[in-house]
Amino acid sequence: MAKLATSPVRRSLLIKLVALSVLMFGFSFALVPLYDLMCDALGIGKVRAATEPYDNVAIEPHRLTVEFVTTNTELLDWSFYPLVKSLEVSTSETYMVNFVAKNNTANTMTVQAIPSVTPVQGTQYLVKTQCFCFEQQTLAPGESVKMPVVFLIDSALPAKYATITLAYSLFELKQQPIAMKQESIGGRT
Amino acid sequence: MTDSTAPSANQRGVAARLMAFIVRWTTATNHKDIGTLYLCTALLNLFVGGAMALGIRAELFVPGLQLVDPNFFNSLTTMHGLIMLFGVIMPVAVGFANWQIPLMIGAPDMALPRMNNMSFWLLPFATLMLVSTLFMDGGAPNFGWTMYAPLSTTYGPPSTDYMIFAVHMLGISSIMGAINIITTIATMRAPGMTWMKLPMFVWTWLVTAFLLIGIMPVLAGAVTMMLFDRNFGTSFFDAAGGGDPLLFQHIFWFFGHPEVYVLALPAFGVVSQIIPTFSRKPLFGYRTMVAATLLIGFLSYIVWAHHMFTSGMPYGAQLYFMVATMLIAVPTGMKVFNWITTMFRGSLSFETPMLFAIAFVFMFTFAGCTGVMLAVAPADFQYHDSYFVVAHFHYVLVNGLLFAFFGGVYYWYPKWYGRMYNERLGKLHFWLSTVSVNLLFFPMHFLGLAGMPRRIPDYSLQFADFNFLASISAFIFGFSQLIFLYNLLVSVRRGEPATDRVWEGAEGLEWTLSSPPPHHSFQTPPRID
Repeated sequence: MAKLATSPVRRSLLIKLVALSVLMFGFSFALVPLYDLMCDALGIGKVRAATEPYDNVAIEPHRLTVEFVTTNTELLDWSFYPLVKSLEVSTSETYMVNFVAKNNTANTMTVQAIPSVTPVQGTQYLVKTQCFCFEQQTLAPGESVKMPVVFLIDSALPAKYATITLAYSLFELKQQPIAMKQESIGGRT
Repeated sequence: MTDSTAPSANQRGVAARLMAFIVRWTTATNHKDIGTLYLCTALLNLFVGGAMALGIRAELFVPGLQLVDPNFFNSLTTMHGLIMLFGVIMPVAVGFANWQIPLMIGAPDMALPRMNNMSFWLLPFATLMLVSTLFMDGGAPNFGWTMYAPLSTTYGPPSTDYMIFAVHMLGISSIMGAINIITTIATMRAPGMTWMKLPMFVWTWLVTAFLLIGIMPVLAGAVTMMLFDRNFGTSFFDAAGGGDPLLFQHIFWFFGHPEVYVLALPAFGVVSQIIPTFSRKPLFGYRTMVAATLLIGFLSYIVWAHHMFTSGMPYGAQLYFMVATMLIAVPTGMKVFNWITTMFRGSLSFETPMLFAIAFVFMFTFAGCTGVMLAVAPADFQYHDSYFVVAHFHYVLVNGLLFAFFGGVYYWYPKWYGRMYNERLGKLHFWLSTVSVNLLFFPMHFLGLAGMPRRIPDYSLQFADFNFLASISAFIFGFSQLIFLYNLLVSVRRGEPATDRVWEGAEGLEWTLSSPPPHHSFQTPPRID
């Protein structure tokens, strides 16, 4: 047995196989830099949008149309409409538009508007610096209010989106739970 | 026990015998002893992992949380997966290799018997360490057998470190086993046993051993990085420190996909021995079988990212991994056609090993087809992490590989232990298992397509009926395995003595030896012409 185990053929094979195992263990660690190299070469990941400032992108300001639409549910007897239906805007410039809400019911009610942008790809480029949707509105019976939105369109918005629609839906608040969520909703759109 | 004078002498006798027994098995270097140890450990672990599976199925019996805490449920799925892969299917394959390779190539023993002893004895202790995590504070690892970061790094329970060391030990054990097998096949073949005369089982194990040497060190690397991230402040998988959790998935699946073939190829080998015997024809297309085995081994290394289609890969990468994965269906299909053609116009008889082999061919092919479905990148977004995946890989591993190994045990058991098993019990085991295992896993395809996610302790009501069926079948399947255990244990003493050839159509060197074979299998190498 001892003679067999030390036969030169077997010993050299044994050494090679052990070396191969050690090599493969090293290979698993080599995958770490290799993975980064692959990602860089293929331009994958690394959260580029957040780290590269927009002015690196060097996009000329351009013009487009922003439309405003509103909806409120059938159950909610309020009037809710924008004062302008659409606006011709230039990117990177700030605009203000007003919306009107009127409580037609006999009760004091609290509502909140939830925004959405169509097409959805435009959402991240429509930046609202001030919006009634960040807050709740409490109106007495018959009371009406004019509510402003201040926004700009980021010039990084691809030019193929010639029209962007900003839509608001009005919801009645019966409890207070949206108070926390409103920030994230408002912050994203 | 009733005699009051005998015990002291008797006890010393018992102690001495127990000591002799322990020394005999802990110092065993004979390939047959090691093979038996591997097979017994695998069988024991099959019942441990099976008990965990029954725990899972009991919880999923009806919707709602009944029996176990959700965190413990997650531990159960994790441990079930790890035990079944590393504690059952891999050891059973190594057990077969230890028993069969020297017998089939005409060698007296394995090339490195003492290393063989060590590679076995790491296994029970590593498994014990793995199972012990279930009793630790904070619970056993609960992130699934895939151990994805950051679940296993940032959020893993303290017992994760024990799991990491257990995986290290299991890895070292299989690498040593693989080195031993390659060395044996390369240097100990009988004169005249050229490469293209090697029995198919030996070929499949040769390729498997190279896969093991290629991947087990990579898994060891992955868990080592996990260990460092957890305890030594590195950031391999932590984006906050410049690492990337996705990197873990790449490294893991670089190991994980060839691992599938580490499990599958030995089973292919077993079936390639059984089918010709009971068809009374030589294996059809031996050369293409060898080529297919090599091709599967090669392809398995370059398809890993099909496990990660939903992780946000570029389209080009998805396309490549999709096509490369589908390519594996070609050599696998070659094997399936060769098995079928071997049976074609053969003089078939249906003893238990053949029944298991035919069931393997049928159900493994089905599992391969759902595999091709999963390989389709756009469709995979629907199937990913659903019960469809669970159904797919259980069809591969249980209905396919476990059945092949059951067949292999029935096939070689008379040769190994010199006694026939009970054929009627074997057939009963087969039919109960086949019916119940299909009722267990087949409905899971529908559950997955209907959207039931995997690794959950509770589910919505529309999934209730199929889960009910699956759970009942799981218990029938689980308890059917006791018939297998009983058959093996009783037949080793009471079975009819087996002839040397055992099966009428058996061909190959192992059948030229006595049953059971002599201690040093081939004292003088046989001549092959």
